[in-house]
Amino acid sequence: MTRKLNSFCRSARLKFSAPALFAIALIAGALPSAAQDRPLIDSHIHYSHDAWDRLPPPEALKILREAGLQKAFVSSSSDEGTQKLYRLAPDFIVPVLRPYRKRGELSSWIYDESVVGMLESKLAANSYAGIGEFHVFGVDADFPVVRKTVELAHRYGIFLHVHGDTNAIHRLFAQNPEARILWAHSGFTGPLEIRQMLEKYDNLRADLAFRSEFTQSGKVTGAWRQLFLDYPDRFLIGTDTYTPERWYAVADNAAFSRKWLGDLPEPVATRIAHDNAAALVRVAVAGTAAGQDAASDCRAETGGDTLRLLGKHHVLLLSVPPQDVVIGQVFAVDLVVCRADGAPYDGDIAIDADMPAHGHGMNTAASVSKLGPGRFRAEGMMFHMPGVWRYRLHLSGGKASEELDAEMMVQ
Amino acid sequence: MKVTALALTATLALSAGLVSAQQKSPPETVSFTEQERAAIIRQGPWPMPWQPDSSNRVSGDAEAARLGFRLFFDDRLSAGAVMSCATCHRPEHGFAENLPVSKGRAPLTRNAPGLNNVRFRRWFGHDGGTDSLWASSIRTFMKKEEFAAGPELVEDLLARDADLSREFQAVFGPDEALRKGETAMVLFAKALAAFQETLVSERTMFDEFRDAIAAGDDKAAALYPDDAARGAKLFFGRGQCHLCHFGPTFSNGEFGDVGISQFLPGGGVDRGRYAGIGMVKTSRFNLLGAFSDDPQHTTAGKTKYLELKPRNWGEFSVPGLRGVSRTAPYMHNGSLSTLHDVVEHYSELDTGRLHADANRILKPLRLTDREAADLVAFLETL
Repeated sequence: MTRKLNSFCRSARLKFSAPALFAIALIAGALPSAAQDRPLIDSHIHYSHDAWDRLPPPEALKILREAGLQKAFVSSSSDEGTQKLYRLAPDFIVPVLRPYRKRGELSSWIYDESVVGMLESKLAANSYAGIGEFHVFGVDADFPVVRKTVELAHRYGIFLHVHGDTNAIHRLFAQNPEARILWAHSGFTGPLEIRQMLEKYDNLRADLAFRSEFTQSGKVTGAWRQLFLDYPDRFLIGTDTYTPERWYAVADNAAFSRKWLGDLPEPVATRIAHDNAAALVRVAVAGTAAGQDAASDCRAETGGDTLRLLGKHHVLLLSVPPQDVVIGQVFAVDLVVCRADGAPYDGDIAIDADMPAHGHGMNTAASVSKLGPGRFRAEGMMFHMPGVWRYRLHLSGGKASEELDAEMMVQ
Repeated sequence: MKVTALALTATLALSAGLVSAQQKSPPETVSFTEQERAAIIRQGPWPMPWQPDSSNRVSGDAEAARLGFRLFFDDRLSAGAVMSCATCHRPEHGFAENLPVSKGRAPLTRNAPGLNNVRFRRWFGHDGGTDSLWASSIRTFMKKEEFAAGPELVEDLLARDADLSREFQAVFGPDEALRKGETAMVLFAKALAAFQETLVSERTMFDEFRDAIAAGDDKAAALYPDDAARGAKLFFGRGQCHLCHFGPTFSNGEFGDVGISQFLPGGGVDRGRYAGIGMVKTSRFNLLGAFSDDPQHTTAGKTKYLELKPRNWGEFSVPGLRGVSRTAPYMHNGSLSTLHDVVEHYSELDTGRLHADANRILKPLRLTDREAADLVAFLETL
C-alpha cells in the first residue's frame, strides 16, 4: 500500500501546541491513586534479532505489561522484531522504524544508501509513529542518507528518535525546522545544555533512558528538578533494551521511574510518566495511516494479505495476515473503506462471517473500533471449522448503505 | 491402497463366511482424494504441541501435578467425604464413567466426559460453562449435586492435614494467606488442573496411518486395516465428520446440536451451550476475572468476544475422539450405549428436529451395515 499525505494533514501537524497537549493530557490519564499504579509509557525499547529466540514475542510482551506499562515505543534491528510485537498487541506497541537491519549498523548506516529504499518500502507498507532510534553525531547529520531520513519523517508526519550530540540535533533542525525530534538519552548531556536545547526548539522532546543522575534516593533536586518543572511537557521515560539481557531491566526501570517521579508535583510526574509520550503518539498517528485520506490506499495495488471488495458505492480493503487465521483462534482484521465518488467515508462498519454451505456463523461477535476516517479494526473474529467462510460487511454510510461479501477458504 | 486382482477378490468373497474375524480382510480399493488426504493430515501430528495455561501459575509444573493427582482421588474434597473426582472420572474408562449419567450426590443429568487430552480443549464441560481447566474443577467442587463444597472445606482440610498442607506449601509457597478462603480453593483447582493436563493419550494405529499419508508412504499407509481405511474414507469424505471432529484431538472445540434429546428425565430441558455461554460470561472464575494468573488475559479473547445466539440452544460440546472406544456410553446424556449406536444415530438422523437454518452439515448418511461397521472400525483405531 502506498500512503500519501494530503496538504491538510501536513499543515495540521506542524507544531506542538501547548493547549492541544494539555487537552490530550486530560483525556489520556486520570491521576493515579498510588505511585505503584502510575501508568507509564516506555519510549525506548528495542526488540532486536538476538532477543527473539530467548524472549519470544508473547514473553517479551509479558515483561512490558508486567512492568505496568501502558504502551511501549519499540524500534528494532531489524524492524521485523517490532512487527512481531505489534502484530500481537497493536494497541500496546508503538512501532518506530529503525534504519538498521541488524545490530552493528549504528555507525555504518549513514553511508549505506540502500537504507533509504528500505525505509521507503517499510513506511509504505506499515504504520509507524517515528523513525529511529538512530545514531548520528556532528557533521554526519548532514550526510545524504540522514537528510533523506529527515525528509521521510516529514513526509509521513512522524518523529525522529535521535541518539546524537547537540551538534547533530542543530543540523537536523536546520534541515527542517518543523522536524519533530525525540532526543534519546537527552544527548547524555547535562541539565544546562538540555535546557538550552529545549528553549531553542519547541519540537524537541527528551527521553531519559539510561540516565539516573537527576535523582538520588528517590529525590529530584537542583538544576534537574527546575528543568522538569520548567519543561514538564518535554520529557519521557525509557529503558533502552539494547541487548536481550536488558529486557530484564524493564520492570526495574519502571519501579525506579515511579520512585523518582513520586518526588515531583503530580501534574508534572503524570506528564513525564505517560502523557508526553501519549501526546507524541497521538500527533504522530494522526499524521500517518489513521489520519490519511484512505482513498490513496483504495487506489493502490493490494498485496496477498488484502482482499479488495468493489461495491456500488464503496471500495473496501480487508487485510489479515494469513498466519493469524487459524481454526479455533481469535483474530483481528483491518478494514479501509472509501466512497466510490471520492468523498471521505464518514460512516460506520459492521462485520460478521458465516459458512454459506453450512448455514452457520461464528461463535463470537467481532468488535469494531474506528482508527480514523475510513479506517477500522475488527477484533474477536474466530473461524471454528475448515471450509469456505464468508466475511459479511455492512457499511452504513447514510443514503449509500451497502452490504459487501468476500469468501475465503480456511484449512 | 492398490487395486488387487479381481479374481482374487472374487475367490475370497465366495469364502467370506468362513473367514474369521481375526483374519485380515481381503485387500480393498480404498483411495483417498487429495482433499481427503489433506483432511487426514490435519488430524495430526500426535502428540500435538502444547503451551502451558497462562491463567494457571502452576500449569505444567510437575510438583503441582503430583499434588493434583493426590487431590483427584481424595474423597475429602466433597462435603461429607462422599466422592472424589475419580468417582465419575474413572482411570480405567479413559477418565470417563461407564454409566449413562453420573450419580453424584444427587442424580445428575449428563455423562461424565473423559479427561484424556482435556488440556487441549477451549471450553470445559458439555456446555462449555467454564473457560479453563481450573475453573472447571471449581464448578464441580461448588455444585450442590456434586461436591457441594466451598472455600471453608479447603481451608479446614489444610488446617487439619499437616502432610497435605506441607505439600501445598511446597507448590504454592508458605504465605498463609494462600491457604485461606477462595484463594485456597482456586489453588486446589489449579493443582487439579496441573494433574489433568498430564492426561494425554498415546499414539495409535491412526497416527501411524496419518504420518504415512503425510510422508507420501503408501506402503506404510497400507498397513492400516482395510475396514478402518474404508471407515476413514467415510469419516473424511461423505460423512463430513471431520468438519466438527477436526484437528489432532478430533474436535474443533466448539458445540453442536446433533439431534440428541435435550429433555431431562425429571422434566424440563437441558439448554446446553445456551446456558453454558451465560455461565462462562458471568463467572467470577472466568479468564477475564481476578483469579486468572495472566493479568494481560492473553487467552481470554474467546470469552470476551463470545456471543450468545439462538442456535446455541441445545448445543453440546463436540467431544475429541481419541480413545473413544474406552469411554462408552456416548453423547451428553449417555443415551447411546455403543459406538455402533452412535454411527447408527448419524446414519438415520432425524433432520426434522434440527434447526433448518442453523445446520446444513448434518444429513442422514444412510449407511449400509458394512459401512457402519467400517466407521466403527475406524473409530476404534483412534
